[in-house]
Formats: sequence, structure tokens, C-alpha cells
Amino acid sequence: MTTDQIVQSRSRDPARILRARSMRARKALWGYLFIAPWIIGFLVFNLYPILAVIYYGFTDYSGLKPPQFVGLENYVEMFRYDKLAFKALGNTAFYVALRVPLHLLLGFVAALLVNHKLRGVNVIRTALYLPTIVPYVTTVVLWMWLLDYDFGVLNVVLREVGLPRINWLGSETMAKPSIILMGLWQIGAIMMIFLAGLRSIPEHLYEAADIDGATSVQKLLHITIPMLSPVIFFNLILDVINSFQVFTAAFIATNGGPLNATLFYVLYIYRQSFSYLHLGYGAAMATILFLIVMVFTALIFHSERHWVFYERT
Amino acid sequence: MHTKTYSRREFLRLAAGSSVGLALAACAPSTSAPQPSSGAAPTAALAPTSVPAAAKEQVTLTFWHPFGGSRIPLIEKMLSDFQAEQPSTKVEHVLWTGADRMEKFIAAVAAGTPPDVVMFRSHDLPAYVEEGVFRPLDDYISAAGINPDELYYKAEIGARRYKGETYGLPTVPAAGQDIAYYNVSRFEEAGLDPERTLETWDEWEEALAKLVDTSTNPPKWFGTIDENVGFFFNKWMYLNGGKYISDDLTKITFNDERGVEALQWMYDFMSRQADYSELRPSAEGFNYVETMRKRFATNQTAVYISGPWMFVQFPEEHGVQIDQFRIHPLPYNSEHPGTTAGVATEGGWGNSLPAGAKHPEASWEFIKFSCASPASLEFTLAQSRPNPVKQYNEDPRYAEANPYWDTILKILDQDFAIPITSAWVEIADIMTDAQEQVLTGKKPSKAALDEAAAAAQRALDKAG
Repeated sequence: MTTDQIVQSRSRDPARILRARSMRARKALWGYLFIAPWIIGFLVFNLYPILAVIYYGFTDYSGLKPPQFVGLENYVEMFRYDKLAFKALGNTAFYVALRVPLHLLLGFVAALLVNHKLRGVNVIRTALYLPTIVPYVTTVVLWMWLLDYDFGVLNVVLREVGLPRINWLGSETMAKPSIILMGLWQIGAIMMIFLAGLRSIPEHLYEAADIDGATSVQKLLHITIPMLSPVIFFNLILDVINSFQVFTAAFIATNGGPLNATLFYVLYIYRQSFSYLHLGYGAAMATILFLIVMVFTALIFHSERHWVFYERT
Repeated sequence: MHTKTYSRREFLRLAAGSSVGLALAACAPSTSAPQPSSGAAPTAALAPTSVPAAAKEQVTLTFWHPFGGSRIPLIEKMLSDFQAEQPSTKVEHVLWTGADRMEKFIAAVAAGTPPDVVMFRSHDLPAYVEEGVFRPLDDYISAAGINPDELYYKAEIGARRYKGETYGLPTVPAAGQDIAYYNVSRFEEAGLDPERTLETWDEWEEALAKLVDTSTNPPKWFGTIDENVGFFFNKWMYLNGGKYISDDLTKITFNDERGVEALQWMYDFMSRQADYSELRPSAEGFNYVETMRKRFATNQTAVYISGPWMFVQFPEEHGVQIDQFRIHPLPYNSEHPGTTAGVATEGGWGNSLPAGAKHPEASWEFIKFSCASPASLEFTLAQSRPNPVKQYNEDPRYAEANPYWDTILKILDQDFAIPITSAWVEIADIMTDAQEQVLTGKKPSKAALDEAAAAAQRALDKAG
């Protein structure tokens, strides 16, 4: 009997198969037990709320009395009559379109900056990360003072250099960019992810490029960015999802004004749900947002093969 | 042993996919209820002494209110005074403030743990009454022998009534929140007498011509006439003899002749000074209020419209002493016969009794104590603001501290409550949008109000 035959006969042994299966099941069980806290948390705090929101979207619900099923009424109301919902959607799309690329670019540039082994780089890194750990509400209030029309630092500087003041938060054209500006300040988190990505790029690629006489720009374009593309992809998805949920800055600084220029979609959901007690309608709006974000995420995933480079080992 | 290894690609895909779920779930705002403030401790230190435990059940009430800062000690004093009077009842107060306070309240009610007493804005009441959240107080009021129409100003008790029932008693006045503060130096500089009330719209227009000077840097303006964001069109409309809704509360009427005229007047008045966005350089955030106050304090504006709290805030926060301003009522349009002075108010703060309160009798005792006893006088007196109880404002300490007290009393007496429906908050937002579109020159008054009225009617019909 050859070795192969022995191995084959053993692998067909029913008792051995059963033992192996039982061992695999036990291991799987232990595995599930270890991840159970996360799974339970996901089911209770993520999946259930998502399903509940989808259900409430089909009801007339104030949050105070039991919901009444109304079918598609909330969706009909939104698509047929609610001009503000579409205004809010437009504002949000504008925010996402501007904020996401700028945020990624700034995060990337900041990561390149702090990746150099310079004196004091740790201080710069800390300074860049600091806004991320400051509560966002505090950040927004700080920005409100900086952007104040009469007394804000930015307008004082503009006035000093002989330029006209800008009505940052009070004009229809500048309010949205001002909110975007506030959102750009917190680049610490994506900077750190980019930094981790930069550190994982093998040094020998740069050494080879140096031997070939590549310039810094060529190394950036042909080594750094391609090697970092999975991280860019990851940050892009997170940023798109987060940006669609823009809320706090507008809630605190402008409450959606002026002229609803900063009435973002989630702020409008909040207003419908908690100011007007239309929780059912707010849930329907949230479901639409869910679908929009899902579509965008799917599109980004679909585009992945065209621009994301994964090193093969 | 089989081990699955993840490439960077798989790991990043998994991480991104998980994040989608997490982030989407985060769409739902949190609904945590507020925690008792640390300020509750001093009341807990007071032990009941005069009534034996067996005589009356010992209860602890929770009282939610929005009065933070320097008013917390006043609340605590009121609670300790109450416990001295009612040793069997301890009241713990919870600071219920911030823009998300309604969210917290809804969560508490939905969870079956509402506060025992809550200080609630009267314009928010009807929507919650329709949801069965509050208990009417009329039986308690009758049993206590209180005649609220005699006790309170008409604006105060009127604002707390809905469909013929009373849902709370007022703590601080709803009336008298729209006082015109005249800047003495600006008035005198323009040759105007700050002591004289400009009673009509015509008189305001004449004063405007004298008070605006755009040749200076920064320019000198009259001031804005929509300080309390959103509700000012409604106020000016009532001062023009208009109404936002029909008497039977079924038809929106703010787009009628009086409404259109009032909004057009607002636009004309503001545009004679400067571009609207320069007059109102911030949106609804608190920067707007701060900017307006600083402008008044630095003599850039001549008139500032606000409530009686400015008697304290102007001197303490902006360095404007009490002799640097005078106060007067808002003007009305005297061209329409029957139109009188007196601002329409949608209400102020009052203490209400949630239907789910566990000790309604004890809650009522606290409401009565905090809204219709000398304890409420001490609470408002310490803040230099008037009391909703008429007779308490006769206390000589008010007039001693405030040289303009007679004007305050006159304003309190002439202001009145408008009828509020359960769709009021949404209707007010719709009116705000229309007002903003007109004042920024985006739409003419008639078109903006017609469009807004259609939306408001829809909201009203939906609310039933």
C-alpha cells in the first residue's frame, strides 16, 4: 500500500470524518462565542434599528403613540409635496461633492507631511490630530466665533488687508462652504490611516526608484499613490458615508439657514422627527438616505477594480 | 488546523462594509434621557422633619426645567422652600436644555418614565396634548380655589389653554418678551427724544429716516425688526390687525391683505437701512444674537428688540448701563381702525403635568407652589424679570430696581396669546421661510405668503 493510498483510506474512515467534523464544529462554536458580543451588539444596536426605521417609514408615528400603518403615504408625501426634502438632498449632495475630495486630499497631504523624519514632527502630528479629539460641538462653536461677520478673526484679517468682509454664515452662497470648512478641520483620523498606509509601503520600492533616478513627483505618482490606493478606497467610503450624515455643524451654527442653504438632509429628518413629531415621515426619509448611501457605496465598490491596486505576495 | 488569512484587500473590504452598517445605523439620533444635575444634591440634604412618615407617603418628584447658569441656585432655593412646606415631598431637578431637549423628552415619555413636572414651552403643548402626554389641570385648579383669569395676565393663562382645557401654569411671562430698547445716545444724536414712545409704524418710519447714517464706518442703523428669529412676521402681522389662522382654527389666513401688507412693510423698513444679509449677518445660531447685542452696545444700532432679561444682560455682559437705554412697546399700524398696540405671543415657559407622572397630587402641589405662590415671585424677582401673576408685580422691590417698571406692566397688560394648534411649530417654520425669502428679496410678499400658506394649510390639515 502506498502512502497516498493510506492517506486516502484514512480520509474515508467515517469515524475519523465524524471526529474531524465535531472538532471543526467545536472550534467554530468557540469562534462564534468570542465574536458573540459584537454580533449581539450588531443585531440589537444596528440591524434592529435599521429594520425598525424601515418599518416606521410605512407608518404614521409620533414616537408617543403606537404607530399606525399607512403604506406608502410618507413616500408619496415626500416625492409629491415636500420641496424642502429635495432642497435638503441637494444641499447634502453639494456638501458631499466638495467635502469628500477636499477632506481626503488634506488628510493625504498631512500624512505625507508627518511621515518625514523631521525634528518636531511629533508635535505637528499631535497638533493635526488634536481637533479630532475635541468634541465637535466645541469645534463648531469655535468656528462660529472665527467666522463672525463683525468680530470674527477671519473678517478682521480681511479688513486689515483692505478686502471686503465675508458674510460666512449669514449669506446663502457662503453658508454651505463655511460648514464644509468646519468639516475639513478634523483630518486627524484619516491622516493617521493614511500614515499607517504610507508606513507599510516597502522601502525597497523607493530605493529602486532612486537607483532609476525617479523624481519625488514620479515616486509619489507611481509608487505612493498606487500603493496607497486601498487606503484611499477605505477612507473614501468612510468619508462618503459620514458626509451624507452631516448634521452637527448646521444644527448648531445655522439651524439650516439662511434661506435653508444649510438645511442638510439629516437635519431635516431630525426636524421632522423631533420638532414636528413626524417620526414615521422622518423614518421614511432616513430609509431613502439609507438607499442613497448604499447605492453610492456599491458604485465605489464597483469602481474599485479600475483604480485600486493591491500588491500580490 | 485550517486558518483563514486575510489579504489587505479583503480586510479593507470587510472593514469598509462593516462601517457602512455602523454608520447608517448611526443615522438614528440618540435618545438618551438627561441625568439629574449635580445641583440636585442640596435638596437631598433636606430631611423631612415636621410630618411623621406614617402620616403621608414620602415621594420624590423629578422636575425638568431649562433654567441653567445663575438660575440653578434660584431653582434650588425654590425646591428647598417647597420641601420646608411639604416635608413629605422631595423634588429633584434636572436641567433640561439644549436644542435636543424635545428628543430627550420624547424618549422619556416613550419609555414610560416622564418627569413628574416639566417646564414646557406653551407653543409646544398642543402637539403633545394631542398625543396624550399631558394631563389637564382644571380639576386641580378648581379644587384649589384658583381663578386663573384673575390671577394671571391674559397672555399667560391664554397661552396654556388648548381646546378649553388648561395644561400647566406659567412660570415666567410669555408677554413682555418683545420690548423695544432705545439707545439713548443714538436717539439724542439724531435729535429724537428717547423718553417718548414711538407708537405707530409711521413714527418708526420717521425715526428710521433720522437714525440711519450709512456714510460712517461702520454704518449706523436703526436695527433689525426680527430679533427673535422666525416669529416676527407673525407679531408684525397682528400689529397690523391680521391673524395667522381663522377663529375656528381650520384655515390659514396669514396670506390675506393684512399679512401681505405687514411683510411688505417689514421688507421696506429693513431695506431702507442696508442689505438684509448685512443687517442680519448670521443665521439662527447664537452668534446672531451676540452680534446684534454688540452692535447696540457699540452704538451701531439704535433699537434692539428683546425681553426683560436684557435689564440684567446688557449691564452685566455688554457694559450697557440701565440709564443708557429706555424701553417702549412695539408700534402698531394705526391706519387700520381697531388695530391696537400689544404683541401677539405664542407663549412662554410654564410647569405642566405629564400624564404618566407617578404622583400627580404631589406634582400638582409643586406646580401650584412654583407658579402661584410667593416662591415664584422670589424666583422672577431675583432675575429682574416680571412675574406672570399680576399682583406679584406690584411688589415695590421691582419698581425700586427698575426705573421702567411702569412700561413693563403696561406691556404685560396689553400683550395677548394667539391660538396655537398642534401644527404650530411646523407652521411657524413655514412662516419663517416665507419671511426670510421676502426680506432677502428672493420673492415678493404675496407670492411667498401664498406658497407658504398652501404648505401651512397642508400641515394644519394633516394635524387634523
